[in-house]
Parts: sequence; C-alpha cells; structure tokens
Amino acid sequence: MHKITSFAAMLALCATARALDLTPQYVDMDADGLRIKLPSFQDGAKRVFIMPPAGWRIEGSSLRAFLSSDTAPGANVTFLLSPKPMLPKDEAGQKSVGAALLALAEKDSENVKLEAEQPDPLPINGWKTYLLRISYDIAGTRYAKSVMFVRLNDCEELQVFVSGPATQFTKATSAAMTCLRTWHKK
Amino acid sequence: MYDAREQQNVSITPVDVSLLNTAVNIMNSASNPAQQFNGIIYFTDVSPDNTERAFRLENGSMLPTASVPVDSPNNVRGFSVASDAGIYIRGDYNTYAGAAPVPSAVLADAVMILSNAWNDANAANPLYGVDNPASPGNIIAGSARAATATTVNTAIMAGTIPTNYVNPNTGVTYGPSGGAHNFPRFLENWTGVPFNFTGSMVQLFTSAIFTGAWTTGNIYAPPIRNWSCNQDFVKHPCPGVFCFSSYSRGAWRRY
Repeated sequence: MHKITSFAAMLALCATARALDLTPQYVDMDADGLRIKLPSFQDGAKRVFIMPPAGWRIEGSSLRAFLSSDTAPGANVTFLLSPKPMLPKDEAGQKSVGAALLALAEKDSENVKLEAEQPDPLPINGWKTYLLRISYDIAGTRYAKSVMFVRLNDCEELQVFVSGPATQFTKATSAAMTCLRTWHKK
Repeated sequence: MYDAREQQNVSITPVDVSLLNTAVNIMNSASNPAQQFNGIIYFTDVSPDNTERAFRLENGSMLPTASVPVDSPNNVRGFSVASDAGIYIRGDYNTYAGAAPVPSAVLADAVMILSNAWNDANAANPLYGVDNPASPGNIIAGSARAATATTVNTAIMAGTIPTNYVNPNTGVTYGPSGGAHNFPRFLENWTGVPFNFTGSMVQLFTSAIFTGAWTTGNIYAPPIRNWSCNQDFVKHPCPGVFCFSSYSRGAWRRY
C-alpha cells in the first residue's frame, strides 16, 4: 500500500515537474568576450543551454530536437524527450532495449550486429545513462545507429539517437556528446 | 579527475610542491655545486593506455629553488616544471609571503588553472551545481564548481587549440579558440572572482593531447583577470627556458 501511495505521489510530482521543452530557441550570449548565439531549451523558469560543434544546426519541437550538419552527410542526431523511462534497471531491461534497437535497423539491412552495450557512459551531472550501438549493411554500405538513455532527473529522460553511415557516425556521435557535455541550466 | 573541457576523466598524478622543497633543500646542502638542484623538473608518464594524463602541481605557494644568489651568472635560481602531458596548477602558486616570487615556468601540452576551492568530487557536476530533487529550482549546496580567488605567478609555455581546429579523432571542426585570455584553461565558475596572474604566456604549438574544444557553457565562467607581465624575466629568466637571440617575421596566423 505504501509503495502504491509513493508511486502515485511520484506520478503526481512528475506531472508538474516535467518542464523541459526541446523546441530550440537561439539566445545571444556573451562567451567570455565573444558574442555567440546558443541554442537553448526552456526548462521551467530556467533555460538549458547546449553548445553543438561548429557547423551543426538544431531544430525541433517540444518533445524532439534534431541535429544535423553538412559536414556529416547522411548522419543525424535526435534528442527525444521520452514519455516513459526506458533506462534499463537490470539485465532483463538491457536485453529488452537491445532487442528494440536491433529492430530499428533499416528494412532489408544485413549483418545486423549489436556492437556495444555500455552502462553509465556519461558519468556527469549526476545523470544515469546507458548506451547501445548497432551496425548493419545496406546496399554494401556500413551504417551504425546508437541510442543513449539519459535520466536527467526522477521525472525526465532523454533518448539520444545517433545514426548514419559508419564513415560519419563518429562525427555525429561526437556532436551528440558535445551537446550533452555542454548541457547546463541557467 | 573529470575535466569538463576534455569531456573525460584525466589520469592525474599529484605533485606536492611543498614536499619537493624538502628534497631540494637536501640537494642544495651538497658541497659539490654539480649535485645541487638546477631548478628544473621534468615529468612524463609512460603508462601504456590511451587515457589523457596530467600532473597536478599542488601546495605550490613556496617553490623550491637553487640556493645560489638571485644574480648568479648561470641564472639557475628559480623553478621550472616541464612535461609532455598536461599540467594543472591547483591553488596559489609561487606566492610565498616570506619572499618575492622566484622565476618560475610551467611548460606542458596544456596548462589548466584550478582555484584554491577546487574539489575533485564536484568535477563532473554541472558548473552551477546539481539540481536538488527535494527542492525543485534549487541546487544542492556545495555541489557547484565554484572558484575562489587564486594567485599564480609563473610563465606558461604550452599548446593551444586554434580556431577552426579539426579534431583528427572525430573529424569535428571546432569553433573559436577562446583567444589569448583563455590560454590558461579554466574549469570553474569564476564569476566575480579574481584570478591574479603575473608571468608570461608563450604559445608553442597545437596541443597534442589536451584537444578539448574551448567553450564557456558548462565548462567555466570567466574570472576577473588581474593579469600582468613579469618584467623581471628580462633579468632573471626561468631555469632551463631558452633565450633567443634573433627573430624573423613570419606569416600572420589567427589563433
């Protein structure tokens, strides 16, 4: 009974605590003497700022932001504000999300491989994180796709998808990680 | 220790400078001048893995130095630290109240400044602190990377990451270098806090190991920079540091 009450209380708390909106807005900032425009997201009364690498543009809506660049053709990064937490808590959960990611390989793809499963790849900000990466072939070209679950707090979870040709994947992954590592609230 | 600019944990070897004083005093007691401290220490780390490595100078308020008079002909008085890795200077350096600062140089792949308040436990926290789940909108007390006033008196000779640098490992093109005022790299919230520096800055090369991109954001907020050039270096150069006798004009390059 106590657990049910706690869970209900958590749901009620989360209903009001979910404040992050991934619609990007560019804000003029003074960066130690340099005037720059930074993408930011509304988060309650504060704003979350990120600093994507040069040449990466971001667009999106309340639940989804999309990052791409001409310097990484065919690759992209998607930040998805997850409606329900999916960060695996145990081995069964890891298997479940692994299977889900494998199913995300494009239709008609071959040699689909689960390349990496990494608990806590981003040990910053008190976040809990989990990373999965797959690779596969389509028409003779190697592709890769990854998802990182980022538990921002008790109520909010980001899913960060990176996908693209293997030749561009490292660049796109680096862009995604840079956004997450420069993520700060003011 | 997590380095927010490098975006990874850096393997740190702490160097307690105050303990070096004891060792140097023993060396200086040798009757043979050739056995006395020559003012230069070189650090390297030959560990085989690919982790970024650095040395961290701590308790460096009073620097060890050769026992010769300040105007000795061979100019060995002072203290120079060099490394092929990165060097963090943690807290006040070469500020001993009982004596004037000695000629000092720090030479490294990159030089990072940590204030007197630096706390490894907060290194991976958000710059302005961790949200307090029990008190939405507030942060957990003591969780921010907040700097306190710090003074460093030394020459810095190191690498930098130039504007529009392309990271060879990821292919990502960086933005601005941050300018000369970010030659010493910061990792804390210095808003309204002075960083006092007297010395000299020489940029020698593009950093080979410490290749994190400059940004402010979650990495640092700038200090009040009370900076000046140590003109005493003209008379008393740092031990082991080269002196040039001629120069030529080269092409303009923006960093």
